[in-house]
Amino acid sequence: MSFAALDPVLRFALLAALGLATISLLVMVQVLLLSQLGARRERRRERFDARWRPLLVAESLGLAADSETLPALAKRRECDWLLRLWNQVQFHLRGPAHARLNTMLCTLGLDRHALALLSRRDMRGQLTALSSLRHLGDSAYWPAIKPLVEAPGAVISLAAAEALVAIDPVRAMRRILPMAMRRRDWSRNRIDLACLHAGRDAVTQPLVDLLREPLPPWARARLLELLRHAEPRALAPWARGILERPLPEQAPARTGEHADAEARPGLERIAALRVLAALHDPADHDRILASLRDPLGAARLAAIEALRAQVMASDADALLRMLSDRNWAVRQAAADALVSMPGLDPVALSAMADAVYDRYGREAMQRALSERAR
Amino acid sequence: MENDGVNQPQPRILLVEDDEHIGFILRFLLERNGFVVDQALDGRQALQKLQETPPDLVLMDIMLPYHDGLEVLAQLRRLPEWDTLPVLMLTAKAREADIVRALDLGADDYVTKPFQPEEVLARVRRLLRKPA
Repeated sequence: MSFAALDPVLRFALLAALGLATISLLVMVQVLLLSQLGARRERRRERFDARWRPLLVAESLGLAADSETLPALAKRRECDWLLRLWNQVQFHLRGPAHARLNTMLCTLGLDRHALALLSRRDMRGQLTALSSLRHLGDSAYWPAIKPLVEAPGAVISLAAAEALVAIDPVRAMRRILPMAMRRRDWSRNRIDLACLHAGRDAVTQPLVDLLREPLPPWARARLLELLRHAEPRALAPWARGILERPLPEQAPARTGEHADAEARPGLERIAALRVLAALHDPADHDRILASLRDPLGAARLAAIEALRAQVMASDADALLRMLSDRNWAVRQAAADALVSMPGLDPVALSAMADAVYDRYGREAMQRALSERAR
Repeated sequence: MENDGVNQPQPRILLVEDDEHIGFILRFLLERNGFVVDQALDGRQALQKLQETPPDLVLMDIMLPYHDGLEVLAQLRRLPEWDTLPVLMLTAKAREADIVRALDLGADDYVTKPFQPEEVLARVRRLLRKPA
């Protein structure tokens, strides 16, 4: 029976089955080809790394021959690969080895390749370029990196911010910290790391300036967290001003189980007490003692930590009172502060512990004493 | 940085490092300077190496898969053949608290990452010069 003589429905079904089989076959061939191509590229990449890694490491150790004798980079893809490999090696090095690899990169002209990558729309390429320019740390690259700090995505903008910090920390922090108060998508850890890399001198003035700015609650909370990176002497007037304000009558009620912790009142008093703890100025002693009456447990805890940094024998009574605080952490901190007070021997401390009327306070003292004895 | 003591036996170093790039740099550095390097890629391999003849020095990362460097160090110090062996620890700069713990457990010295290869080499040589 010929195909034309078949029932039209059957003919259609046969044609559809044939078409589907052909499409499936084509897709299978395509998958096979792509995986073969991928595997071939991977092998080529491995051969490339195996050839270049010893050269990079020898260069970093100052053991390499002249850079002019290095193998030529044939394609743009090889430049990308070398830049990635260079970053992977450079990431682990510092000192002269780091400087020698920087020189090598510029000799090969890959700094220009990195700059060209910045304008590509490929995120991986941009990240490789930003990482390379961060290692090079040359102010000539600042204008090319600066616009990327405004990039809508957090990944690129933060990488650009870190590159600027490596180039000029003071100038970078003046730009980046105000942005960190607008960009909620920037992670706190990355901002912390940028502040650490930039150093105290670079972050202090921008943070002090931001304290005067009106900020939304989440940004205010972020700013207060960042104050630990700043020079406490520069923050002291602000901290004292905060602690001069009258304390609220009672701790703020939680607005719900999922209340925004960043909007919690009292964060400023806690941050101010941490500043005074870092400052160790005896002139603040009475301010800190007054904060032991703060209705917020976390603020009383911060006050004890601040007091511990400059504790005097006359503070023993105040700390003993804190042993009956309703907050567990406050009782433990008070016990630790008492135990670490200068001039009190173990016998006196044991007598003090026995005299504590509050059962929970007595337990806190016993725990602190046993830890001290260890 | 080449070794000039041609007739002397080459000191053996056990390198415990899981990072491919750091491992390559350190191995390259040490071999080019006349050391024989045996590498363990994780804590489990490192513990297996403790059954073998001790090397002249151990250079070990703290962050390792399976058993961390501190755990390997503690086990190493319990073995009589290994208890006086010089141990140089590698640690990330951000985890400096680990250094105190490593020194408490019997490490002789440490280097923070990112590192200067010249510094690693100088510390290795100093530890190998020290009388056991």
